[in-house]
Amino acid sequence: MNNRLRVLRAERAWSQAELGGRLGVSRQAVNAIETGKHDPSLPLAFKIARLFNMPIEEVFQDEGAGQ
Amino acid sequence: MTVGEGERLDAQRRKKFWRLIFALAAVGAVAGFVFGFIYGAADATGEPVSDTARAAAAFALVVATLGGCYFSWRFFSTVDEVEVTDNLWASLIGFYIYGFGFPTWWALFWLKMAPEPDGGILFAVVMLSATAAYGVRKWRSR
Repeated sequence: MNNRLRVLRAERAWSQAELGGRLGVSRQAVNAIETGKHDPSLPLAFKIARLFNMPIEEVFQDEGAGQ
Repeated sequence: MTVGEGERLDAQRRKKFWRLIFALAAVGAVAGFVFGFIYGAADATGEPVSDTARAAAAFALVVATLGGCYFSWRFFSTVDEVEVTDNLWASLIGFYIYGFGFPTWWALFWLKMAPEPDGGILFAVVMLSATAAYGVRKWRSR
């Protein structure tokens, strides 16, 4: 699953720790999600989308979509 | 980078995490010291261990076990889903190593090709494998 987390975070000039604090997860968790090493659970994905005030599919994209 | 409320919450979360780890280590250290002290004293004198000393050592072990359970529960209700996933993977790998390792060793023993399975060695191998698996996952998401 691809995501735009790094871009969205950069647009707000937030560090990984800042975003992690706002989401209630560790900086390492934010890094793992940004680099695609961890796919977040649905509750966390919704929380991320809510934080950025966007629909979930604008933050996360299915790699297999459109194939 | 903006330093805001998130950074403060992150620092607070990390502090809570390390407080739990420290509490868990402290319970283990105190129990280990009490047990080791009683065992060492009995070993040095060669005298049989008194009932009181044995009861104190057993109490220390029970406290350590209950403390381990309580702080583990607190730990898993504090950490995020990535930490839980790392722990699950480490546990799964340890479980598989035990699940395949013990029957294989036992079968080799039955065939008279290996010594009798040793619980201590199996425990150490399982714990080392699980710790290594956890370490690799942590290193990947550092």
